[in-house]
Parts: sequence; structure tokens; C-alpha cells
Amino acid sequence: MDLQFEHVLIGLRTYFTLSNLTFSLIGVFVGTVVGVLPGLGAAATIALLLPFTFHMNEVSAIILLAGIWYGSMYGGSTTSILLRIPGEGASIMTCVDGYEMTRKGRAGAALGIAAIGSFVAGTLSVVGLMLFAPPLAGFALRFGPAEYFGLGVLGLSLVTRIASGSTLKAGLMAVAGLLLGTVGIDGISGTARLTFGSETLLTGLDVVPIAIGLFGIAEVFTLMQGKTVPESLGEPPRRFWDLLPSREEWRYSIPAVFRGTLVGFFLGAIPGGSATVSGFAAYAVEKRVSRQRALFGKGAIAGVAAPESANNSATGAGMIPLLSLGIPGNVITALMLGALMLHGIRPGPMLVSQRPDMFWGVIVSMYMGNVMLLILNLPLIGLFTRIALVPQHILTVSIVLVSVLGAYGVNNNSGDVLLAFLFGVVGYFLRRGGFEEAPLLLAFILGPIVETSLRQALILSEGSFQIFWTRPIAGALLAAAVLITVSSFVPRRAGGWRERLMPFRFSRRPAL
Amino acid sequence: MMSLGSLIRLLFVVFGALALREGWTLGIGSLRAPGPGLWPFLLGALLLGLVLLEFIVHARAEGRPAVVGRGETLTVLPAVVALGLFVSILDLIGFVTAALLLVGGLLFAIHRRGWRESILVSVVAVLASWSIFTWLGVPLPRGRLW
Repeated sequence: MDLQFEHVLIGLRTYFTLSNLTFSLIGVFVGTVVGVLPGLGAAATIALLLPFTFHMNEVSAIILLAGIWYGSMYGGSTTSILLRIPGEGASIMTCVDGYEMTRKGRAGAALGIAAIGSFVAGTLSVVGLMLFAPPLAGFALRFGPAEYFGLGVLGLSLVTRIASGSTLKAGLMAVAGLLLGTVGIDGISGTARLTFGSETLLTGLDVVPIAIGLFGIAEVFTLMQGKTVPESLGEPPRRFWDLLPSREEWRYSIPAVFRGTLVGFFLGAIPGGSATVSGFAAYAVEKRVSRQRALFGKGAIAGVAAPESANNSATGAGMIPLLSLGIPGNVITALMLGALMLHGIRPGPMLVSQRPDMFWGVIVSMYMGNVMLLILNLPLIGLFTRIALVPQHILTVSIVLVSVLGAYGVNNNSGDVLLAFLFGVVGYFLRRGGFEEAPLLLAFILGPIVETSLRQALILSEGSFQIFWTRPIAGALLAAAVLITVSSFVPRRAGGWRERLMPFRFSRRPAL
Repeated sequence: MMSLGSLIRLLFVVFGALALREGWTLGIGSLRAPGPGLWPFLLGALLLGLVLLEFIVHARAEGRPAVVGRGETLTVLPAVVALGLFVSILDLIGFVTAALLLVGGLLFAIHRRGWRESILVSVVAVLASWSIFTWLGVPLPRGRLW
């Protein structure tokens, strides 16, 4: 499908309606706020807001959720720079040089370059999404069950590989998620599986109560244990001009923004990639190649520009596998897939041609959302900094209420509230034991795709596994998955590359 | 006393064994015609294999955190009980009353806020969320109280 002017027109027509403009603005504003709040991440917020999207049309829902995602990347930098609290995992590396710049009285320049870098990277990644997703979707029209099985397995293997904790634990969570995905009536044979005689479980487990439990309620329990008092408070700049970097700072920042954009785009587009990993990788690359590398860790502006550009670039790129293949590459796009499924939509390669309003509407919303964020973020930095200091008890009771209402709101059923509560309790103890929740949720969403394609492929090949390696794309995808899985078991050097980049430790982990 | 890690591994073993049994009972079929039990059976076996590996790798290395730490006895466990109670009485006494009790209780008993602040915050928060849901057209559970 070639890029044509009419496609852009469809996107503009879809986006420029009162409701979509409003949801886009709400999305980027809420996103910035949750990016600023250290206890609440984009994944948790999207999980909590999923039930609300049920009452919107599907295009508005995705515009809102995408806005929250890339908005949170903008917000995460503010508290990293001023308070040395990463509002988001993706902004951890920004704390290092961003906070050092604040101590040297250059907070304005750090905030300015974070916002400008995010804008440039966010916009370029949408250009990439626009250019790469339609041809990829066209190519994927030739995919059969074997290729989809390969894609799903590759996604699962990458998620377990790059989880920040133990690979084995991530693997266990992913398999548990796949198993939870089998609960209910089997789509092919019509048999009830893992329902243990319960009629409620016949329809299967809903993504909403699971996501709310794992990300919302478990977060409440975690928040009650931790402290979010800032180590020291940096002053937000008072005048707009204070946000502009000096000529010398521009010289170091511009190449860092473009390198960060490239790294973020590449890592965001592959299944299993995430904005957090992109931030770390971009910082690592910049630390090696920047002309300012001697200053890294002591307030180098390139150390702010690169990770902030990378994490924004990763969000646009992360939409490519979702919108072109229907495969979520990370937990946030998995939740977006969940939102679409609530509306009865199953995205895949046909989405670009059959629902151009959705595809191009979301693209236009991401362009416009980035502009809104730039306009919102620069003058409102002082306000967002104060939001970061919201008392913990207000934050926890708010999350509790939204969680309960959200879980109830999908089916108007208090059984879902019970399910969310159970997943919250189990999720909290799993977290404490070092088991991350993201692989479970992603596998829960990917599970039915992987199982159905495996069974269809076996039926097609009359029981021969050869179908998985005689078809070149399926073979290549599975070979990559095997390589990644095997390499996971090679012992890592003590500390890990991400930990070695950090000159200090946080008292509690930042939100996802 | 069992450590948290051991308890979690035990849960995975139970889950894996249940899946294995369910898969076998439903029928794994053949490769030409995979049965509905094949996928749960394979996953159950994989889960058990991974738990075994996890047990071998981490049994000695782990610092053995307790299932419930001291801080949790004071904060998280009461919150778990409060939420559990909320879920069990939600349909009986209705959302508004149950949520007022939950939020007020969390603020007063766990966050150690004053009773005036606890009442004020819980009333404002519950009424605000009730209004939003009513505006959205989602009927909240109405029990015997409200």
C-alpha cells in the first residue's frame, strides 16, 4: 500500500473531530501527569483506564491510550531532572546527568532539551511508523499460521530475555500467562478448559481485571511499603528563555537527539523492545560516541538528550507491530490490543486497508499529540513538578478507587472486582519475590494467537513440524527465538550492563 | 517457616500439575489433529520444567525473604484484609457505603491520618467517582444501604 495523500486526508478527517481532539488532549495531559508521578506508570494507568474506553468508539480509545503512553515519556523526564525521581522506568538514565545539570543551575536547559528532543524523536518515529507499517502489513498478508506462530514465539522469547530481573522467573511468568490465556472455551474444539466446573470461567478470563490487579492493586500495596520523598528539590525555571540550551549545549545535543531517536526506533520496533531498554541503550551508545563523553555522569546535556529522545522514539516504533501485524511488542501495546478486543476488533495486516480511519487517525493523533505535549510541557513544568509531590495516601486511595471502579465497569459485575483483588494480592507477592508482571500479561494476550496458529499450522501440514522450517520466514523467526532463548541461559556478568551504567541506586523501583 | 520464593515455586508446581492433568484428561490428540488438551499439557510440562530449573538455580543463592516482613504486618496485610472485606460486602451494602468505609479505613487506620481528614477525603473521593460513573452511564452496585 503506497503512501498517498488521501490516506493522510482520512487521518486528518478522523482526528479533527471534537471528541478525538478532546481525547487526544486528555491522553497527553494524563500521560504527562502519570509520567511525573513516581508510583504510577503508563502501563498501570492504561490498565486502569481500559474499562472507560469501552464506552468510547475504538479510534478514540486508541488515540487516548497512545496519548497516555507517549505523554508519560515526556512527563518522566521532569521529575528525573528536578528531583532525581524517575517517574517512568524509561527516564532512569535521565536522572544521572539531568539531576547533575540541575545542581549546576542548568535545570532549564535540561528540561528544554528533554522536551525538544522528545518532540523531534516522537515526530520522527511517527514518520517511521507511517513509512514502515503499511508495507510491513502488505508483506504480512502472505503470512500463514506458521509465520504467526514464529512471530508470537519470538515476541515471548524477547520479553523474557530483556526483563530487568531473572530470565528464568520471567519465563515462568510468561508460561503462567499462556496458561491463563487457555482458561475458557477452546475456540477450535468448543471444549471447556481449566474452568474447574465454574460457569463464570467458561467465557475465559478478561484482560481488564488481570491488568488492574497486577498493575493497579499490586501497585497500591507496593506504594504502602515504599517512600517517595525526594532526595532534594530542584527549582523549576521561571522564565521561558531559561529552558533554551546555550549554543554549546545545542552543539552536543543535536547529534545525541538523532542518535537517540535511531536507537529508540530500532529497539522499540522489535517485539519485546521497550522504552525503558531504549533509554538505557541510547545512554550507553552516547557515552561511547559523544564528544562530551568525559562529562557523562557530571551533567552532560547529551546524557539527557539521548535517553529522552530514545524513549519517545520507541513509542511510535512500538505501534508498528501492533498496527501492521496485530502482534503486541510490549505490555503497553498488549493492553491497547486488549482495548481493541473489548470492541470486538482483532488487528492484523488487514487493519491498514480495512480500517484506514483507525490507522491514519492514530498516526495524525501522534503528530498532533507531540505538538500538544511540547506546548503543554514547557510552560507547565512548575505545575507538573508540584504534582510529583502529591501525598502518598492520596495517591494510594485514588488508585484503589479507580481500580475497583475500573474492574467493575467492564461487565458491571462484582466478580471482576474479586478477580482484580486476587490478581493484585498474588501480583504483589510475586513482585516481592522478583517475578515481574509484564511477561505474564503479554503472554496472556499473545497466548491465544500462538496456540491457534500452532494448531492451524499442524492441521495444514498434516502433523508435520517441517512447516516451521521449510517456510523461510517462519523458520527465521523461530531460529531467532531459539537463539535468544539459548543466549538467555549464558550467565551474565555480575551487576548487568544496565546496573553498571548507574552511579547510584534508587530506594524503590520506578513504575513501568 | 517457608520462604516467599519457596511458596511461589510451590504455587507454580500446583498450577503446572493442574494444567498437565487437565490437558491429559481433555485429550492431547495427535499431531495431525491436535486435541484441546495439547496446549495446556505442553504448557503444564514446560512450567514444571522451568520451576525445577528455578529451584536448582536459586535454591542456594536466594537470600530467603520471609513471606511476610515486619513492615507488611503493619501496612500491606491490613490493606489486603480491608480490600477483601470490601469485595465481599460490595453487593450487600452497595458501592457508596462500602467505598466510604474502605477509603476512610485505609486513610485512618493504615495511613494514620486524622479522622476529620479521613472522612473529608473519603466523602469527596467516593462522591466524585460515583458522579463520574453515573455520568458515564455505568450502574454501580446498590445494596441495602446505598
